[in-house]
Amino acid sequence: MKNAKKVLTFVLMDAPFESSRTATALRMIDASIRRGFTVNVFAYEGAVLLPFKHQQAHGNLVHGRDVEEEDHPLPREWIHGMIALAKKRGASLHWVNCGLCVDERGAGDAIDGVERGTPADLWKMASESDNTLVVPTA
Amino acid sequence: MKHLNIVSSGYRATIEEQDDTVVWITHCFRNAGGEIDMLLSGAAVNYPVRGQKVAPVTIGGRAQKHGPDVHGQVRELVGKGAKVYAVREDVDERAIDLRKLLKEVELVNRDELPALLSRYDRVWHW
Amino acid sequence: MRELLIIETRDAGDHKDPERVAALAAGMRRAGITTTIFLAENGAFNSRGNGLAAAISEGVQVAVDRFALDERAIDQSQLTTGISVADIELVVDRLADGACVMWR
Repeated sequence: MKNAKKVLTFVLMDAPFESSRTATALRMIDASIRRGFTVNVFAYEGAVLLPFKHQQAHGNLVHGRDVEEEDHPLPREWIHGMIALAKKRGASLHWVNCGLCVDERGAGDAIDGVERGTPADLWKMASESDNTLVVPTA
Repeated sequence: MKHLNIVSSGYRATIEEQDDTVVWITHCFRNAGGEIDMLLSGAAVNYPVRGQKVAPVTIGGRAQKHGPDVHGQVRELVGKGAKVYAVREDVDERAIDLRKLLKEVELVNRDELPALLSRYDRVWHW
Repeated sequence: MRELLIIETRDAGDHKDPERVAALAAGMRRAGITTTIFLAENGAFNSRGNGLAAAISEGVQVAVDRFALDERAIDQSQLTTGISVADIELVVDRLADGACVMWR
């Protein structure tokens, strides 16, 4: 596989459902996992809510779709799926939520596989990665 | 490896956070031993201006103890050995009085940015 | 720095900064740095018209995210000469190759 065993770190900042950057960044992370890379994500600020356990799907009255028909994907599902996909591919997705950002947003309940860390952890991840991309907030 | 953090969105959530969170994280990286400098552009070029006063905010009776001090954040980053640059055209566009700027901040013309960025291995735009 | 990839996600019709980013990219190219602009999200609107022609003539490579084109019904036949279509994997591969990647 091209560029196998590379380690990439992504820094995300946007809360879910606020910016098109979230979907673009998650597409990049997914593509990185499919390449077999080891991927670190440091979620800073609003992005700590991306893996929030209590996200709930909803229906769509405007389109006349109930919850099941709307089948609204949630960021926590995407992240959970990527963690699983990474394991299946012999790669890994290491998601770290910035602890202070978690505290001030009350976002402590994250899905399994998400850790809590600090900017020093980000610096360490970035230092040990082949490359790092910061996705700024919109 | 030399890093440059670029901050261009100024005063974003600084009241709520009581800091600029990107200048803050730049401090963290320096504290962790990182060789990291900072370029201010857009509204963030106002950060090194002396005399900014932010009275702590009271909302719903809940008073804030510490307002943000973005000038102080930049000053202390310089004190840690970081180079701080600001885009001259962005300073001029905002009619900022150069005499009020922290003297250690180096103004860089926009057409000098390629030369500046080229000196770094990693450029992180926040 | 030997290579720079700039991800431009903003519509030049709404922001003045994409023009500055294009000028920066041209300057980086003149400085000998291999430079690419990847247009994504609303940056895809910049793939038509003359906004990037000067950067392209300086040797900046410009690619646009196929997903963003499709999302906005921008036909590939309308793209400015010199702009290619790419997938998101382009960013991933450049990161893996060690390019400095900057998101705007």
